Amino acid sequence: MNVQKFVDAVYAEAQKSGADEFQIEYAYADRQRLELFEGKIEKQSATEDQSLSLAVKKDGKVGYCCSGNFDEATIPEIVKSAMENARLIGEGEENFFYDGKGEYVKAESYRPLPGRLSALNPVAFMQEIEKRAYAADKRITQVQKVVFSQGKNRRIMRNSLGLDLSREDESAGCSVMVTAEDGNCKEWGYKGVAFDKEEDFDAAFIAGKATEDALSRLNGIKPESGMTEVVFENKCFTDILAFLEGIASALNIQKQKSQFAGKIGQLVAAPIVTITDDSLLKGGYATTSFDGEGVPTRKKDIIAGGVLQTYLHSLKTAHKDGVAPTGNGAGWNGAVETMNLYLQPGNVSKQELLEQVKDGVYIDRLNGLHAGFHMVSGDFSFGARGYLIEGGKITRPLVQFTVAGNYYQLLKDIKMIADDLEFRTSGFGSPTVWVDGLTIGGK
Amino acid sequence: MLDKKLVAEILDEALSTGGDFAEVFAEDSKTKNLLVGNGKVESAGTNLLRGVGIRVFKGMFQTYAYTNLLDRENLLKTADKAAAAIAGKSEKRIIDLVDVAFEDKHKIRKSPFELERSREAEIYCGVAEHMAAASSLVLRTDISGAYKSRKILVANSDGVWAEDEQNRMRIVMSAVVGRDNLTEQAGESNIGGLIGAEIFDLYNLEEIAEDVVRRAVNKLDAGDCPTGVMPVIIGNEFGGVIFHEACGHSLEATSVAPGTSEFSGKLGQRIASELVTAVDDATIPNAWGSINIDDEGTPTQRKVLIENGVLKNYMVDKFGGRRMGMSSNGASRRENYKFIPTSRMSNTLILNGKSTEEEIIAATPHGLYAKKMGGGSVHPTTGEFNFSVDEAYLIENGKIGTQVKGAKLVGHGADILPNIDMVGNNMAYACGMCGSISGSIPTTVGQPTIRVKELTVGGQK
Repeated sequence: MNVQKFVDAVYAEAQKSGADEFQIEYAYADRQRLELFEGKIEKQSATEDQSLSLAVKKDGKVGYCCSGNFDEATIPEIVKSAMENARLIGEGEENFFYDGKGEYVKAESYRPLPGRLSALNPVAFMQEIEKRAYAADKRITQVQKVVFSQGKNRRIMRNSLGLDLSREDESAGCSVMVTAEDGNCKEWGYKGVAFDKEEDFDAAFIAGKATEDALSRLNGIKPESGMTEVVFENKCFTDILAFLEGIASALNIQKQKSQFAGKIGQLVAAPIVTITDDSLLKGGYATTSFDGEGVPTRKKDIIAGGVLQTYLHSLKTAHKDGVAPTGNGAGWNGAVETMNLYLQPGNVSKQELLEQVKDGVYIDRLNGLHAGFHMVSGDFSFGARGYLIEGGKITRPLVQFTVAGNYYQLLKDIKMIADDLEFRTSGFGSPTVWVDGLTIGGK
Repeated sequence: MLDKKLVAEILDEALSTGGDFAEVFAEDSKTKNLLVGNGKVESAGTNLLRGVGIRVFKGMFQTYAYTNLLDRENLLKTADKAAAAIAGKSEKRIIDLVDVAFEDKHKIRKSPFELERSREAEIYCGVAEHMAAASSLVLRTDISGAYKSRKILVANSDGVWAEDEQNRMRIVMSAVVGRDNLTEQAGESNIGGLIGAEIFDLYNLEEIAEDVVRRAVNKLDAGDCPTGVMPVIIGNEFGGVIFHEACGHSLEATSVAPGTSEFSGKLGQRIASELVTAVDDATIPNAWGSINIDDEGTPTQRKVLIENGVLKNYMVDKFGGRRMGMSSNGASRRENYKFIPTSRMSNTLILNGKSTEEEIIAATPHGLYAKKMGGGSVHPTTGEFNFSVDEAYLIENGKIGTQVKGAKLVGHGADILPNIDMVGNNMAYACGMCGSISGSIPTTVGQPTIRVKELTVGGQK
């Protein structure tokens, strides 16, 4: 049975099931991946992935079954499981489907530069990156691996209320990780690209960034412990910004897991802070004209001039709060997600910002993010890497230290924002940010 | 799942371009989960997964392709995709698939699929009521239960035919408490195993729930953790996450084989304090991280990784083993058929020493007692790790003092191991999920209470 027939058969079975409403989503992904080690391709994969998700609504409650099993004999089980799950849901947990009648804005999302990838020989390109990385400096002792990947995704969503949407996108990327050694000191460096900029097709550029990253970290010292001025590199600050997805989630607020509860219209961040979720950003990595529930998306400020403007809503949470959905539904039980979330840039250059900081710590890598962050209390403590800032300049590398504070306070302690907004392929973007009042744990 | 004749045909097709080894991995799994929030079922889901992954080796080259359309034509097409990257000539051979014999050490007593889900929901709702009643400060409770049945079949061109069914069940609970403007959260995720519905007989959920609320309430009074270098006592059970992260990952062939790991080429060398003996043991009956056979069909074993401080063994899979000149020791795992399997941990434990926990605390004039660890991560190149501490106390004059919050531990794996200067006799283990290149898999961590001479502690003070 081909996939189209399978989807139709699930649709027909759902119609017979006694569900009041139902929705089917089908996702398809096709990927190729190459991994190079010591001049040769070591791993190669070509994969095709499909999944189907059925949501049924009975008496206002929604149950799900997600299936990657395309055996025809499974169809009754898929429908039966979803119905059983709907019946288990407790009172007051009403959920909704969308009828697709809203206005969808055509959005141009990220894609690799057209025509360029087909002209690229991936293996030769990866070999060139490896060669250039080794040639960059004799302290580069290993190119751990070079990875190249390319893929296509297709998604279809339709429901019994008339929603009928589809989306196709493609992606590609290349990354390299290198080891640098000097005496007993060993460090790693990394660079990844998404082939949406001209420089991403330049092997020397990629190798140069990765080797520079590793070499600049050799022979680091531990910083002094204590409170100090902290500057976050632009891309690194997106790790911090990403927590806003949970904190501004109406679902978490309704579950009393975020301190943003009851704070709309209030100052929750420094007045220089404006944080925007732009689902329609041209070329954005998370750009989409509809969310995971099929609701049209739009651009909105979550925080403007330090004041909380809105929570992120799905159909379920919006109904509970008596407001309109914001186009942030993730498509699963009221959960929400941000699209292209970014901190609006300021108007000083990174260099000017560092000059004003004079002395402090510059952080460009954070780790232990998930375990180190407590959304309820806002307390966080992360492992960090970076450099000393001395006399307004980035100087010595710093190793093995922690940075700790409270998230809700950090938003208020943002002292200055540079003009160098940059996005990660995750869809989060930020300029360089200077924060006051964080504790560094080192020596 | 698939018949032997068809699998032999697929293997043959996969080797048609000159590969020297081919493998078929088929998986059929079913997961069910329930989330009870504030005493009400908020979400219920079912997840079905079925697919086949085909892998071919040629020397130090491996290719992979997978599909979830399991008709003969599509499976052969997938085998062709895997084979396409190898441009050679087939050396025809006869593949005789023979069942791998192994003992099922992890039989379950009650299938969770036979338990009425409405009954399961009632149990969680009852526990939630108990939690809410435990303190007037409780703002929110969450209890989730999930079970998974995973049937796997591995067949390869060496004639291996191995089938197994893995049944796992786990319950996680957490409570949010608040007082004045302060809110805190505590949780428990150590209820689970390679077990079935007998989980409800083995654990006293109400008692555990009360403990969760108590721990959350205590956090409201915790002070900020001091910052600096100090002796750290790490509690048993989930405390073992420190060995898992700081050392375990660097003993996986994934980083040992290419020479990336700080422990590459160090077999037989002293890498830890002689008080440290550590094992990775996938054979512990019904433990969360246990498996009968790994995802390459190799029966699992108990591996002594470090014995009295000396490095003895690594986690080795078939492909990593080729580069290392070692054979697989049953340590190859993957989240599902969508991942290429690689060397991973199972139940990784530091074994008992001689001290009691009381002796360790009494022997420490000042420092940090990390009673319950949170999660952490490590970068295998540098061995640099970081861990969050979920429940921590200051040690003052050999006694447990004030509770502190927000503690983070950072350091190097290679530095921490020689610095373990006391090892307790209260080994216990805990469930966790471990994420790496072959996906997220269930693993157990464990240890007795240990003391590390000095570690960098990062707090807010």
